[in-house]
Amino acid sequence: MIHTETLTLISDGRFHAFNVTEEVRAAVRTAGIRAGSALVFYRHTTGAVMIVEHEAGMLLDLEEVLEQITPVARDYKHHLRGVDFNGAAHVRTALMNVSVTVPVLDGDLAVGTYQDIVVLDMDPEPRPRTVIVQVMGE
Amino acid sequence: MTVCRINHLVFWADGVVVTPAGQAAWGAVAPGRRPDAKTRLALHHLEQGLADGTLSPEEFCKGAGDLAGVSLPKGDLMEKLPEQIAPIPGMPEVLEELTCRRLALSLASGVPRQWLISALQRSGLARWLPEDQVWIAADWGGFPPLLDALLERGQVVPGRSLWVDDHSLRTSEALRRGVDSAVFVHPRQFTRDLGLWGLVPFAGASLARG
Repeated sequence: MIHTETLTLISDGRFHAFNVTEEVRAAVRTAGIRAGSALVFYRHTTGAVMIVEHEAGMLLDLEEVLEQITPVARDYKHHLRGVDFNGAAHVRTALMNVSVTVPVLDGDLAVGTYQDIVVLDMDPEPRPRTVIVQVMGE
Repeated sequence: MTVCRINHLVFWADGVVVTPAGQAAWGAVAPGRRPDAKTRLALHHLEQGLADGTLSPEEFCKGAGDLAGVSLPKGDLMEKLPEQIAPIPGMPEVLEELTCRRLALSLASGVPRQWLISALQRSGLARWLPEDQVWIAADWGGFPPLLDALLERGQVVPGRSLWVDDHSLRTSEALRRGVDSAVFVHPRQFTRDLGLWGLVPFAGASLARG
Protein backbone atom coordinates (compact mmCIF):
# COMPACT_ATOMS: atom_id res chain seq x y z
CA MET A 1 0.00 0.00 0.00
CA ILE A 2 1.23 3.49 -0.88
CA HIS A 3 -0.56 6.54 0.46
CA THR A 4 0.47 10.09 -0.50
CA GLU A 5 -0.52 13.43 0.99
CA THR A 6 0.58 16.96 0.24
CA LEU A 7 1.01 19.51 3.02
CA THR A 8 0.97 23.21 2.22
CA LEU A 9 2.79 25.35 4.75
CA ILE A 10 2.20 29.12 4.83
CA SER A 11 5.71 30.30 5.44
CA ASP A 12 7.18 33.67 6.36
CA GLY A 13 10.55 32.39 5.13
CA ARG A 14 13.90 33.52 6.62
CA PHE A 15 14.08 30.66 9.13
CA HIS A 16 10.47 29.70 9.65
CA ALA A 17 10.23 26.22 11.17
CA PHE A 18 7.19 23.93 11.12
CA ASN A 19 6.72 20.86 13.25
CA VAL A 20 4.85 18.44 10.97
CA THR A 21 5.11 15.34 13.18
CA GLU A 22 1.38 15.19 13.90
CA GLU A 23 0.47 15.68 10.23
CA VAL A 24 2.77 12.80 9.24
CA ARG A 25 1.36 10.69 12.06
CA ALA A 26 -2.15 11.40 10.75
CA ALA A 27 -1.08 10.33 7.25
CA VAL A 28 0.15 7.02 8.67
CA ARG A 29 -3.19 6.51 10.39
CA THR A 30 -5.05 7.32 7.17
CA ALA A 31 -2.87 4.85 5.26
CA GLY A 32 -3.85 2.19 7.77
CA ILE A 33 -0.51 0.36 7.60
CA ARG A 34 1.00 -1.49 10.57
CA ALA A 35 4.60 -1.67 9.35
CA GLY A 36 6.55 0.27 6.75
CA SER A 37 7.90 3.76 6.44
CA ALA A 38 6.90 7.38 5.98
CA LEU A 39 8.84 9.61 3.62
CA VAL A 40 8.68 13.38 4.19
CA PHE A 41 9.97 15.36 1.22
CA TYR A 42 10.40 19.13 0.93
CA ARG A 43 9.66 20.12 -2.64
CA HIS A 44 11.88 23.22 -2.86
CA THR A 45 15.54 24.19 -3.01
CA THR A 46 15.69 26.69 -0.15
CA GLY A 47 14.68 24.60 2.85
CA ALA A 48 15.22 21.36 4.67
CA VAL A 49 13.53 18.55 6.58
CA MET A 50 15.11 17.49 9.86
CA ILE A 51 14.50 15.18 12.76
CA VAL A 52 15.36 17.22 15.82
CA GLU A 53 14.03 18.25 19.20
CA HIS A 54 11.72 21.08 18.18
CA GLU A 55 12.85 23.63 20.71
CA ALA A 56 13.21 27.39 20.39
CA GLY A 57 16.81 27.50 21.61
CA MET A 58 17.91 24.73 19.26
CA LEU A 59 16.37 26.52 16.29
CA LEU A 60 18.20 29.74 17.10
CA ASP A 61 21.45 27.81 17.68
CA LEU A 62 21.07 26.17 14.28
CA GLU A 63 20.37 29.51 12.62
CA GLU A 64 23.47 31.01 14.23
CA VAL A 65 25.69 28.06 13.22
CA LEU A 66 24.41 28.22 9.64
CA GLU A 67 24.98 31.96 9.60
CA GLN A 68 28.65 31.33 10.47
CA ILE A 69 29.04 28.79 7.67
CA THR A 70 26.84 30.44 5.06
CA PRO A 71 26.22 34.10 5.96
CA VAL A 72 23.12 35.59 4.36
CA ALA A 73 25.05 38.75 3.41
CA ARG A 74 27.83 36.91 1.54
CA ASP A 75 28.43 37.68 -2.15
CA TYR A 76 26.94 34.53 -3.68
CA LYS A 77 27.60 33.79 -7.35
CA HIS A 78 23.99 32.67 -7.53
CA HIS A 79 23.03 36.35 -7.23
CA LEU A 80 24.88 37.32 -10.43
CA ARG A 81 21.86 36.39 -12.55
CA GLY A 82 19.89 39.07 -10.75
CA VAL A 83 16.87 36.77 -10.57
CA ASP A 84 16.80 36.26 -6.83
CA PHE A 85 19.08 36.76 -3.85
CA ASN A 86 18.67 33.60 -1.82
CA GLY A 87 22.15 32.10 -2.32
CA ALA A 88 22.57 31.38 1.38
CA ALA A 89 19.33 29.38 1.44
CA HIS A 90 20.39 27.32 -1.60
CA VAL A 91 23.80 26.50 -0.14
CA ARG A 92 22.28 25.60 3.23
CA THR A 93 19.80 23.29 1.53
CA ALA A 94 22.66 21.56 -0.31
CA LEU A 95 24.33 20.93 3.04
CA MET A 96 21.16 19.64 4.69
CA ASN A 97 18.44 17.15 3.78
CA VAL A 98 15.27 17.76 1.83
CA SER A 99 13.74 14.51 2.99
CA VAL A 100 13.62 12.13 5.93
CA THR A 101 12.28 8.61 6.22
CA VAL A 102 10.75 7.43 9.47
CA PRO A 103 9.97 3.78 10.22
CA VAL A 104 6.38 2.86 11.00
CA LEU A 105 5.90 0.20 13.67
CA ASP A 106 2.59 -0.98 15.09
CA GLY A 107 0.75 1.59 12.99
CA ASP A 108 2.60 4.61 14.36
CA LEU A 109 5.75 6.60 13.70
CA ALA A 110 8.67 4.96 15.50
CA VAL A 111 10.16 8.27 16.64
CA GLY A 112 11.85 8.83 20.00
CA THR A 113 10.29 10.99 22.72
CA TYR A 114 12.14 14.11 21.62
CA GLN A 115 12.29 13.45 17.90
CA ASP A 116 10.14 15.82 15.91
CA ILE A 117 9.88 16.10 12.14
CA VAL A 118 10.63 19.74 11.41
CA VAL A 119 10.47 21.52 8.06
CA LEU A 120 12.64 24.60 7.78
CA ASP A 121 12.09 27.32 5.18
CA MET A 122 15.22 29.40 4.71
CA ASP A 123 14.11 31.41 1.68
CA PRO A 124 14.01 35.17 2.30
CA GLU A 125 10.50 35.44 0.82
CA PRO A 126 7.19 34.45 2.41
CA ARG A 127 5.17 32.00 0.30
CA PRO A 128 3.30 28.69 0.49
CA ARG A 129 5.64 25.69 0.72
CA THR A 130 4.87 22.15 -0.32
CA VAL A 131 5.78 19.01 1.58
CA ILE A 132 4.97 15.55 0.24
CA VAL A 133 4.30 12.79 2.72
CA GLN A 134 4.37 9.29 1.26
CA VAL A 135 3.53 6.34 3.48
CA MET A 136 4.47 2.84 2.29
CA GLY A 137 3.88 -0.47 3.98
CA GLU A 138 1.37 -3.12 4.83
CA MET B 1 14.77 17.76 39.06
CA THR B 2 15.07 21.18 37.46
CA VAL B 3 14.95 24.14 39.83
CA CYS B 4 12.73 26.50 37.94
CA ARG B 5 13.43 30.23 37.82
CA ILE B 6 10.45 30.97 35.55
CA ASN B 7 7.46 32.52 37.34
CA HIS B 8 5.62 34.13 34.46
CA LEU B 9 4.42 32.84 31.09
CA VAL B 10 3.47 35.10 28.20
CA PHE B 11 1.41 33.39 25.52
CA TRP B 12 1.10 34.64 21.98
CA ALA B 13 -2.67 34.26 21.90
CA ASP B 14 -3.37 33.66 18.22
CA GLY B 15 -2.93 29.98 17.40
CA VAL B 16 -1.73 29.07 20.89
CA VAL B 17 -4.60 30.04 23.20
CA VAL B 18 -7.32 31.02 20.73
CA THR B 19 -8.20 30.70 17.05
CA PRO B 20 -6.02 32.96 14.87
CA ALA B 21 -7.76 35.94 13.27
CA GLY B 22 -7.37 34.69 9.69
CA GLN B 23 -9.00 31.38 10.53
CA ALA B 24 -11.74 33.14 12.47
CA ALA B 25 -12.40 35.53 9.61
CA TRP B 26 -12.57 32.71 7.09
CA GLY B 27 -14.94 30.79 9.36
CA ALA B 28 -17.19 33.85 9.40
CA VAL B 29 -17.12 34.67 5.66
CA ALA B 30 -16.90 31.20 4.17
CA PRO B 31 -18.23 28.65 6.66
CA GLY B 32 -17.56 25.08 5.58
CA ARG B 33 -15.25 26.15 2.75
CA ARG B 34 -11.57 25.19 2.86
CA PRO B 35 -9.20 27.99 1.79
CA ASP B 36 -6.63 27.11 -0.89
CA ALA B 37 -2.92 27.85 -0.38
CA LYS B 38 -3.10 31.24 -2.09
CA THR B 39 -6.01 32.28 0.10
CA ARG B 40 -4.27 31.03 3.23
CA LEU B 41 -1.21 33.11 2.36
CA ALA B 42 -3.39 36.17 1.75
CA LEU B 43 -5.19 35.62 5.07
CA HIS B 44 -1.81 35.33 6.76
CA HIS B 45 -0.75 38.68 5.26
CA LEU B 46 -4.01 40.23 6.48
CA GLU B 47 -3.28 38.87 9.97
CA GLN B 48 0.17 40.41 9.88
CA GLY B 49 -1.25 43.76 8.79
CA LEU B 50 -3.72 43.63 11.67
CA ALA B 51 -0.97 42.71 14.13
CA ASP B 52 1.42 45.46 13.13
CA GLY B 53 -1.32 48.07 12.92
CA THR B 54 -1.01 48.79 9.18
CA LEU B 55 -4.53 47.42 8.64
CA SER B 56 -7.54 48.58 10.63
CA PRO B 57 -10.01 45.94 11.87
CA GLU B 58 -12.44 47.21 9.20
CA GLU B 59 -9.82 46.83 6.44
CA PHE B 60 -8.97 43.36 7.71
CA CYS B 61 -12.63 42.33 7.58
CA LYS B 62 -13.09 43.80 4.11
CA GLY B 63 -9.96 41.97 2.92
CA ALA B 64 -11.23 38.66 4.26
CA GLY B 65 -14.63 39.22 2.66
CA ASP B 66 -12.97 40.04 -0.68
CA LEU B 67 -10.92 36.84 -0.53
CA ALA B 68 -14.07 34.80 -0.04
CA GLY B 69 -15.88 36.74 -2.76
CA VAL B 70 -18.43 37.79 -0.18
CA SER B 71 -19.79 41.29 0.11
CA LEU B 72 -21.09 41.71 3.62
CA PRO B 73 -23.13 44.60 4.98
CA LYS B 74 -20.87 47.19 6.61
CA GLY B 75 -19.97 46.10 10.13
CA ASP B 76 -21.47 42.64 9.74
CA LEU B 77 -18.18 40.74 9.81
CA MET B 78 -16.90 43.00 12.59
CA GLU B 79 -19.71 41.54 14.69
CA LYS B 80 -19.48 37.95 13.47
CA LEU B 81 -15.72 37.52 13.57
CA PRO B 82 -15.12 37.67 17.35
CA GLU B 83 -17.67 34.87 17.76
CA GLN B 84 -15.35 32.66 15.71
CA ILE B 85 -12.44 33.19 18.11
CA ALA B 86 -12.54 30.13 20.37
CA PRO B 87 -10.09 28.48 22.80
CA ILE B 88 -7.58 26.01 21.35
CA PRO B 89 -8.78 22.60 22.65
CA GLY B 90 -6.74 21.49 25.66
CA MET B 91 -5.46 24.95 26.55
CA PRO B 92 -7.98 25.79 29.30
CA GLU B 93 -6.71 22.73 31.20
CA VAL B 94 -3.10 23.87 30.72
CA LEU B 95 -3.92 27.40 31.93
CA GLU B 96 -5.72 25.98 34.96
CA GLU B 97 -2.73 23.80 35.84
CA LEU B 98 -0.29 26.70 35.51
CA THR B 99 -2.49 28.97 37.62
CA CYS B 100 -2.71 26.30 40.33
CA ARG B 101 1.09 26.31 40.35
CA ARG B 102 0.99 30.07 41.03
CA LEU B 103 2.56 31.05 37.76
CA ALA B 104 1.59 34.49 36.43
CA LEU B 105 0.01 34.36 32.97
CA SER B 106 -0.19 37.07 30.31
CA LEU B 107 -1.35 37.25 26.74
CA ALA B 108 0.06 39.04 23.70
CA SER B 109 -1.95 39.17 20.51
CA GLY B 110 -2.17 40.41 16.97
CA VAL B 111 -5.94 40.93 17.06
CA PRO B 112 -7.79 44.05 18.23
CA ARG B 113 -8.28 44.30 21.98
CA GLN B 114 -12.09 44.29 21.86
CA TRP B 115 -12.17 41.07 19.78
CA LEU B 116 -9.81 39.27 22.12
CA ILE B 117 -11.40 40.49 25.35
CA SER B 118 -14.84 39.50 24.12
CA ALA B 119 -13.52 36.02 23.17
CA LEU B 120 -11.81 35.59 26.54
CA GLN B 121 -14.94 36.59 28.42
CA ARG B 122 -17.30 34.50 26.31
CA SER B 123 -15.13 31.39 26.51
CA GLY B 124 -14.27 31.69 30.20
CA LEU B 125 -10.54 32.11 29.49
CA ALA B 126 -10.68 35.51 31.21
CA ARG B 127 -10.66 33.58 34.49
CA TRP B 128 -6.96 32.85 33.91
CA LEU B 129 -6.13 35.78 31.64
CA PRO B 130 -7.49 39.03 33.06
CA GLU B 131 -7.82 42.09 30.85
CA ASP B 132 -4.91 43.95 32.48
CA GLN B 133 -2.61 41.09 31.43
CA VAL B 134 -3.54 41.34 27.75
CA TRP B 135 -1.16 43.22 25.43
CA ILE B 136 -2.01 44.06 21.84
CA ALA B 137 0.78 44.16 19.25
CA ALA B 138 -0.91 46.78 17.05
CA ASP B 139 -0.81 49.26 19.95
CA TRP B 140 2.98 49.19 19.65
CA GLY B 141 3.39 48.80 15.89
CA GLY B 142 3.78 45.02 15.75
CA PHE B 143 5.51 42.18 17.53
CA PRO B 144 9.15 43.18 18.00
CA PRO B 145 8.20 46.68 19.22
CA LEU B 146 5.64 45.14 21.60
CA LEU B 147 8.25 42.84 23.12
CA ASP B 148 10.72 45.72 23.42
CA ALA B 149 8.10 47.81 25.19
CA LEU B 150 7.22 44.99 27.60
CA LEU B 151 10.91 44.51 28.39
CA GLU B 152 11.42 48.23 28.95
CA ARG B 153 8.39 48.43 31.25
CA GLY B 154 9.47 45.36 33.21
CA GLN B 155 6.35 43.42 32.23
CA VAL B 156 8.54 40.76 30.63
CA VAL B 157 11.67 39.96 32.65
CA PRO B 158 14.57 37.98 31.17
CA GLY B 159 15.29 34.96 33.33
CA ARG B 160 11.78 35.05 34.86
CA SER B 161 9.39 35.20 31.91
CA LEU B 162 8.84 32.46 29.34
CA TRP B 163 7.55 33.54 25.92
CA VAL B 164 5.29 30.83 24.44
CA ASP B 165 4.59 31.09 20.73
CA ASP B 166 3.74 28.96 17.70
CA HIS B 167 5.90 31.03 15.33
CA SER B 168 9.61 30.27 15.29
CA LEU B 169 10.54 33.76 14.08
CA ARG B 170 8.97 35.29 17.19
CA THR B 171 10.55 32.77 19.58
CA SER B 172 13.95 33.52 18.01
CA GLU B 173 13.37 37.27 18.44
CA ALA B 174 12.50 36.70 22.10
CA LEU B 175 15.64 34.59 22.64
CA ARG B 176 17.81 37.23 20.96
CA ARG B 177 16.53 39.67 23.57
CA GLY B 178 17.42 37.27 26.39
CA VAL B 179 13.85 36.09 26.99
CA ASP B 180 13.40 32.34 27.43
CA SER B 181 11.08 30.96 24.82
CA ALA B 182 9.11 27.83 24.05
CA VAL B 183 7.73 26.76 20.70
CA PHE B 184 4.08 25.75 20.87
CA VAL B 185 2.77 23.04 18.53
CA HIS B 186 -0.15 21.56 20.46
CA PRO B 187 -1.12 21.30 24.14
CA ARG B 188 0.22 17.73 24.56
CA GLN B 189 3.68 18.63 23.27
CA PHE B 190 3.55 21.86 25.26
CA THR B 191 2.81 20.00 28.49
CA ARG B 192 5.84 17.81 27.79
CA ASP B 193 7.97 20.94 27.32
CA LEU B 194 6.60 22.53 30.50
CA GLY B 195 7.83 19.42 32.31
CA LEU B 196 11.30 19.94 30.87
CA TRP B 197 11.22 23.53 32.12
CA GLY B 198 10.32 22.19 35.57
CA LEU B 199 6.99 24.04 35.53
CA VAL B 200 4.75 20.98 35.84
CA PRO B 201 5.47 17.43 37.01
CA PHE B 202 7.40 15.73 34.26
CA ALA B 203 5.54 12.64 33.06
CA GLY B 204 8.38 11.66 30.71
CA ALA B 205 11.16 11.93 33.30
CA SER B 206 11.88 8.21 33.26
CA LEU B 207 12.11 8.05 29.48
CA ALA B 208 15.47 7.96 27.81
CA ARG B 209 16.55 11.23 26.21
CA GLY B 210 18.75 12.00 23.26
